[in-house]
Amino acid sequence: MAAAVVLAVGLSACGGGGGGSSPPARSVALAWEANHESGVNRAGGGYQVSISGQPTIDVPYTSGPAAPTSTTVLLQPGSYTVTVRAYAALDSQGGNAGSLSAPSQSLTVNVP
Amino acid sequence: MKYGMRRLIALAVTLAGVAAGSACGHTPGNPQAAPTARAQQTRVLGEYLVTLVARDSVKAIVDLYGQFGIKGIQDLGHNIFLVTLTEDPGPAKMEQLRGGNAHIQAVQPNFVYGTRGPRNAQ
Amino acid sequence: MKALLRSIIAIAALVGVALTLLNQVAAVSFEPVGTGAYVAGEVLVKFKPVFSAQDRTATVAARGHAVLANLNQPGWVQVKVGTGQTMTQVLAAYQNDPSVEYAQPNYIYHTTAVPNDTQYGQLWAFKNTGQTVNNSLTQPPSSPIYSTNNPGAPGNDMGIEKSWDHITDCSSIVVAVVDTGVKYDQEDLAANMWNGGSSFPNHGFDFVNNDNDPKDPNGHGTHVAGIIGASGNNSLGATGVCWKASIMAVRVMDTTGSGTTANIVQGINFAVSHGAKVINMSLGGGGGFDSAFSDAITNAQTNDVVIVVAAGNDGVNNDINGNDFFPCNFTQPNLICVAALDQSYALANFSNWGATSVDVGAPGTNILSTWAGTNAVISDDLTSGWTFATTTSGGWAFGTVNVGGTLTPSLLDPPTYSSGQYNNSTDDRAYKAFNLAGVNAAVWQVSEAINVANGDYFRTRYSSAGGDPFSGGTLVSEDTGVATFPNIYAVEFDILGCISASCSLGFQLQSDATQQSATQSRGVAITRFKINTLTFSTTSYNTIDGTSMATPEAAGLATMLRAYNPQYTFADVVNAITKGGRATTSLAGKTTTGKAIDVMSSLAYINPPTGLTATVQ
Repeated sequence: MAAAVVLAVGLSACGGGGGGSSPPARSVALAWEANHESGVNRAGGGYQVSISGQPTIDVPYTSGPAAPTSTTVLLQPGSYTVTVRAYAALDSQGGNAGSLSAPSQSLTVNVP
Repeated sequence: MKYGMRRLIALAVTLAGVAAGSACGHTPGNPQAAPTARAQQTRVLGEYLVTLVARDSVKAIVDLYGQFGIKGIQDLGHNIFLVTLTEDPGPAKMEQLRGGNAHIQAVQPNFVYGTRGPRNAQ
Repeated sequence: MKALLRSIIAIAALVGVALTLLNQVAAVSFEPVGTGAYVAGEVLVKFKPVFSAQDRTATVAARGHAVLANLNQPGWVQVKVGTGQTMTQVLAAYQNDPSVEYAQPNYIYHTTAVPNDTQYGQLWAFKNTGQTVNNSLTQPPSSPIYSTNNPGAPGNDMGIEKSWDHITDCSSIVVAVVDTGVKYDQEDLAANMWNGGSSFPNHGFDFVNNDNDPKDPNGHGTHVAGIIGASGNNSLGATGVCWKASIMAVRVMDTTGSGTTANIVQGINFAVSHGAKVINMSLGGGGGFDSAFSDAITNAQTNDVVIVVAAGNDGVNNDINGNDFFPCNFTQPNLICVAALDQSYALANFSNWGATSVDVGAPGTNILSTWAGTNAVISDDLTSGWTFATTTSGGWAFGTVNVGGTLTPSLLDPPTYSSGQYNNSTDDRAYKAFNLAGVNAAVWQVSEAINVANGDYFRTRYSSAGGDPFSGGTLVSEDTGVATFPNIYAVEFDILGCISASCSLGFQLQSDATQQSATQSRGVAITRFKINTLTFSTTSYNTIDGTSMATPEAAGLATMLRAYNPQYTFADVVNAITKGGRATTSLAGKTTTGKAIDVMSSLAYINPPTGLTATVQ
């Protein structure tokens, strides 16, 4: 009995799931032009991808001549607004608090 | 076009009927005076930039503007030539004559620019 | 049974709470690291106080990492991380560890670079401490300087010092100074001149004299060049925006500071075709739309060259019809037009502005920089020492003219100038000799009012042999059919050819026999007479004002940006300067941006990404 309670608690604490069928999520490939700032393309730099209703996706520089300029996400059917911002380590006071660009022009993505 | 090797194009063509230059501003027989550098003078008198449609049409400059007495034609590159005239007919007349000429794309004064304004500021 | 059930419920509640907390911690997302230049492969971790050093070491080791050092702060350790994870992933993992209070990168800090140049304290544009800029370094010596807002308000400067922690060497980018030339052997410039190879051994070209020596006989271009790239931190003189630079000297303006479309167009095209990526043009004029000039700027745009130009010094709005000031008023996207600010970041009283034509402001009063030599002024008071000659009677005489309410000693012909007429069939001459021995450049400045009828002539001439310059001298100017009265105009002439111990300068009024109207033959008044001389020196500096000085500060910034970001296009540079500037009240509504340039802010500016695409797979 105790084990069943724990299982129930565990299940409820972890949130629900299961239930009826829904359309599968689709893979969406996002890509953009590389920024020309050297700070974006070295350690501490990269891009943030914002998708409406989704957590922000970080696409950091890891190695090589430039930060990645693409990412792939799984999205449920629906309409999404996507923007990209670039960032680098250097801030406008000469420190390391970072700088973030204004968003790119937004793109509407419709996932059928 | 190598800089430092700029040519003043010699006028091999006989300038028949070229005006001797008796217009206001010059004494016949005297060398043309250096223009007075007046505060209000915005162009060099007697000098025009002529843009040719094709580089081999320098004769078109002589044909069209030779009536004013051509003292020199200097190649500035990019199809632009600095033409120095004995008699200055004015920008309007120069443009009027150019109208419809198949060899000459544009003509304009040789404007004057400065590093200083009327104040002491640089 | 009831007790057991209560225990179970309590345990379940505790488990539920624990699971909830776990979810909450797991939901923490670490902000992506745009947060700092940091040591790659290291993090700093603060463990909760309850965990011992042994616990900390074990926790770190369990992740495949190693403790490098215990910092002398409770709970903090420096951790060497392995490969295969990004900084974001590492930090997120530690941050979500229940034994960890906080995790961060091991940031890198710099000391603020301040150059040791001897005159740095006077360079308020780079560091405004509220200092008083003095005239200890002016040419000619002890010349008056701009007094409004001197001293100014501290903090009103280009924000450049912090940028020097990140870049001081801009020499990978060639910047062309299209101007009066550059004194390329000046002590603070010699190391920063463009290497033009054997073709251009003097670091550029002279389109005024059409030769290979763009040495500056005026000083203006040298001053501009020093603002961009006077050697920094060399214990000498000034410093430029860039401590190290590659400055191309392109001379298109003559000794008097005057140039033409023909010279300027050649100069721009030369700079572009020889690799300049930034062009500074502290010059302008208002003769009308200049197509050839515009085409040259477009050619520069096609070749990805940024052009920075001056707004002008007339104190007017360039946007008003009739006030057009070119090249500022051209509209190509590679063009940045700069107004001048004083030491309190007010618009300088001489600076032009324009809500659509002028882009940004920059310091432009009391700017100290390199100079071409030592200046001296020979002023003649027009009251004695002149030789007068005439073939009739009267002719030239000493007199006075009311200039702005002040009776001013003048040379007049006829003596009854303004109410009388000069004689018919006369040849009137006035001349005087001056000692110009040893100077390298001389500019003759005259203020004059001229009314001579058509067919009569007013001439100026000089002779380096002294005596009557109208007998064998060199003609400088000739006017006929001119009527300027009551206006007096200042004119300047380059008298390089007169440099000698006895340079004779003279005026001639020559008339024919035709009787002219009183107005047409009013005559000539010379109300001011000066000779400005320059003697070359490699150790000269000068403090002057102008939008000419504000412009190279922006050009220096453009050069720095391109050096810092080698992939930058002209559009990136223009964006970084215009959008990365500092909002300035005096520029609001008077420039397109309402901003003063800010070097550090522009260096940190990031352009928004472009070209976003999405493909549903």
